[in-house]
Parts: sequence; structure tokens; C-alpha cells
Amino acid sequence: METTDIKTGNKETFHCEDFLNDIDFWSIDIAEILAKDNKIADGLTADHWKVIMYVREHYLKYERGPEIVKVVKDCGISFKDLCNLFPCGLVRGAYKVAGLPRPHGCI
Amino acid sequence: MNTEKNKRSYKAQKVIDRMGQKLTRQMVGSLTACVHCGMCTDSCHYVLANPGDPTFAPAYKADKIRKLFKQHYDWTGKVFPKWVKAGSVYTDEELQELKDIVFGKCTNCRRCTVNCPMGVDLATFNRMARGLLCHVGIMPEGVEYVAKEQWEIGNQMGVLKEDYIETVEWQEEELQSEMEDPTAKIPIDKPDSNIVYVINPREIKHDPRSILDAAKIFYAAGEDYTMPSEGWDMTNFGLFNGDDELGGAVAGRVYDKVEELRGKKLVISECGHGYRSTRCEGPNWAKKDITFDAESSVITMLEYIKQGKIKVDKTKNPGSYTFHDSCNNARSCGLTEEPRELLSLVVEDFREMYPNRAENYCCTGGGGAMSMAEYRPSRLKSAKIKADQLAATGTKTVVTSCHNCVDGLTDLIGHYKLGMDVTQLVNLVANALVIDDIVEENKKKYAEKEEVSSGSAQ
Ligand code: SF4
Ligand code: SF4
Repeated sequence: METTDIKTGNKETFHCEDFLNDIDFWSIDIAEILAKDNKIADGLTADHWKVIMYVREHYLKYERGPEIVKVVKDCGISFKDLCNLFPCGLVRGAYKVAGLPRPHGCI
Repeated sequence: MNTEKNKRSYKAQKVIDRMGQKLTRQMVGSLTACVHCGMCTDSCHYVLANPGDPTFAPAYKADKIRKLFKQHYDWTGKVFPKWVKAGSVYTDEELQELKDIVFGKCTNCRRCTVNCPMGVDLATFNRMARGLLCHVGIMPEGVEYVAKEQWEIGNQMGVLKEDYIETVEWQEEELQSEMEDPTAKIPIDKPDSNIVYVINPREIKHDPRSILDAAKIFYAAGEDYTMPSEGWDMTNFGLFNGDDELGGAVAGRVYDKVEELRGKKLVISECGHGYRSTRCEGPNWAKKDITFDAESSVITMLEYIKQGKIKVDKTKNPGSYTFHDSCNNARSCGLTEEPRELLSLVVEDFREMYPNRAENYCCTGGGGAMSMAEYRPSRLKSAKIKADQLAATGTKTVVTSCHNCVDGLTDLIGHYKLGMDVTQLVNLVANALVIDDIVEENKKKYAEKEEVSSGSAQ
């Protein structure tokens, strides 16, 4: 997404639809920018960070994002709350803000 | 020694050789029938979004495959090679160029097919060409990744069996709490059930609301159903990468499980390519006669309403809705009227999108395009046609019976800033269910039971 490219000053890093290409390029500042671009208007809260860090750690360990059931159970968050925290959903919300690349498959 | 062969790269030669094994009579018919009248040109969303670029025209793309057929497998190419534009491939670079056409410039949507007076089915031989390239390892990285997951792990998102079961059990708990019924079940591997319900892994991995919604509908209808612990992925990347063996293996797993469970009917959740692969193409790929019925969940839900098994109230879904036909459902399987009938029963304000049914435009994410990151900019450019079509309806929400279309549409709605929502029929039917009385009754019943058991414990 062009606007985000300009803000981060890195054209190549964004895959498309503002998913990061390189998970290592991620930073707290970039997460905040991605959050604003993805319907999280009031900034990231402690609950957001719990999910974001969980999703990142899972990806760094297994090279794939976690199933939603793991996010809900391991972060101790209800499904409803997760939907409210990330209105764009697990992939276009949490994965994206956590700097994961866009997953493959019908998604 | 064959000098012609030696001029060719190993992969190029394998592609030519394999083509001979893959040509069916239907394909040969399509490969020879084109009279280059150009009537299909404007039916393709890529052409409409790229006016003036002839390389997007269906007949141009088809000629890139056709020339190989003419050169190697058709007598006209042997007698008048120049006249019939016969040609071959020699290098791996040429194969890469072919890949960019067959994967990157066509979603196999078949809109050109329904607009061709000669019945040329480009999508069918485009799929064959994809298969030839995959056979020599030339394909988009995402397609390779997903095909591998589906072959090796058994579903396209690499979900492990224990995670699948844990997710279904989690949705069962949600069902129990919403229905106020601690005995409500989403049965797994229940033998002799009326229905075996299979889904898209996206529902397990990322968004299980559609599983819960389907479970609510089955619950309200009092259906005797089960979800299988294996063979539950009804999607099929074999349709997208042209690999009939993958197609047969994936569909075969679903069929084998239904047979093992002695299920009477296979119900396929809302997914265009999954429905086409599992119901229509799969038996061919798997070389298997299936002994049970198979239907889309759209038909199941519609029948429940018609037979009075569930009650719905359309005022529970306020707002305006339009319907997007998935290419595979509408053009390849003729599933056009039932979704409309169902939608009209569960929303008050349904407005058609034009053109529609078999003439509808692709969401631009079809044919596996959602997994081909390298072509995404061109895909989103071609999505302008769909975006204009959506915007013209003036509706707030687009409904579709396809998981892949949900994501394709979500992407383009974001890209063109249309501000629309995307949903599926299962969500709207579940939301429209009139079940308050059942829930109230359950509440009383289980509260009484609780009292009795706590009373007797004292
Ligand atoms: S409409 Fe049919 S015959 Fe005419 S150019 Fe297209 S594919 Fe060929
Ligand atoms: S199948 Fe669809 S995308 Fe492919 S050429 Fe025909 S109209 Fe275009």
C-alpha cells in the first residue's frame, strides 16, 4: 500500500495490501502504523500486544501463523474480544500488525 | 539421435512429451475450434482492465498453448506449420513466460467460454498447461507451497489433526453456551449419519464463525450429522495447478472418509472451487464412483427452510445486500438460482448485481490467484471491473457462496475503498434463525435439572 510505504520509507518491504515481506523489518513503530491502517483507531493496548507477540513468536518458531484456537486459548482471550481487538480478523488484523507475511492458500 | 529434441531444455522436452498424455478429446476440440472471431475478447476482466493490451485477450493467451499442440500433436501443424501458427518451446525462460500467462493472466474463470460461439473452453486447456508446467516444477511459489501442504498434511493450510479437533470442540462449547444446551454437539466421526459436513481449512485456521453458524443451523434443524476427523478439507489445489493426481488424492480422501463413516450425504460448505472439485471433478480425478449424494450447503439450508425444519426472520438481517456468483459455482456447476432463493428468504433488501449468474465477473482471486503474490498488482488492477460492478449496486454488503471469493472481494474492496462488507449465506441464515424459544426452553430445562440435582445432593 503506497501510503504505508511512504511512512516507513521502505518500498520493497511491503508485499501487497501492506503485509510485510520481511518479518525482521518489523518494529513497534511499524506495528502502530499498521494498526492505524487496519481499523485499530485508538492505538495498541496491552491486549493487542499480547496477541501480537504471541503470533510473532509462533511464526518465528514454526514458520507459520498460529491457528485461531491457539491464539484464543494461549492468550486467554475470548473469540469475541479478539474480533473486537482486530476488526480485520486474525490474518488481515493480527498477523499483519505482527509483521507476518501474507499466508498462502485461499486467504 | 534426434537433433530437434537436443535443442530443447530437459524441462521443455518433458512439457511437450506430457502434453500428449494429457490431451483429451474435449481439449482437442477446444484447441482446434477457435476461428479467431474475437467475440470472447471483451468478456475477460483482464482485457477490460487493460484496454489496448492484446496480450490479455483470451484467444491470444490460448494461442500460446495452441501453438504447441499444433506443432507437436496436430497434422495441420506438420503440413502447414506457419499457416496454423505452430510453434514449440525450447528454453526454461520460455516456460517461465508461459507460466506468467497461464497462472498470471487468467483465473480460469470461464467467462470467455460462455461467450464463445465455437464452444472453445480456454480454461480447460489453460489448466492442462498449468499441469504441464507443475510437472516440471514451474509454478508460482505460493501454489507450490499450498499443493505440498495439501498432499503431505492433508489440507491446504497445514492444520494438524489435533488442532482441527480442538477447534471443532471449541466451537461446540460456543454452540452449547449460545443454545443454553450443555448437551449440544458437533459430532466428529459419528458413523451412519445423514450428513458428513466438510469445510474449507480457512474456517478452522482463521475464522471458525462459519463452523459455529453451520452448527447452529444443524442444531435448529435437528440434523443427524457429523464432521470427519480426516478428509475434512473439501478445497482442492489440484483444480488450480492442473495436477489430476493431487486432485484425485485430495478428493479421494474425502470420499474414503464418507464411505468409512457410512455417511448418507456429503455436504460441502460454501466454496466454489471446493464444490466443483469435490462434487463434479473429483470422482474423475480419483477414478472412483461415489456411492453417496453430494450437495452444496446452500441447497441443504434452502431445503431446511422449505421443509419447515428451520424458521427464519429476514428482519434480523437489516441493510442492503447484493450477491456475487462464484465462477465455479455458477459457470461450472450451474448453482445460480438456489443461492438467490435462499438469500431472498433471509434478507429484506436484495439487489442483483449486473451482469450476474453465468455472466458475472470473477472476483479476480479465482484459479488460485489468491496464492500468487507475484501477480497481485496485476490482479488488483483487473479487479477494477469487479469494483465498478459492486459499487453500482449501491449496497452495503456483498454476499457470496465461496470462501475464496470472500477474500478476493475483501482485497479489492479495500484496494478500491468501497467500504462494503463481505459475508456468506451461512452467516445470514444463522443470524436469521428464529430460535429464541428453543434457547429459552433449554434455559429452563437445564436450570430445572440443575435444581433437581443440587436438591438431591443436599
Ligand atoms: S470467441 Fe471462441 S472462436 Fe472466437 S476468438 Fe474467442 S475462443 Fe476463438
Ligand atoms: S477464463 Fe476468464 S480470466 Fe481466463 S481468459 Fe477467459 S475470461 Fe479471461
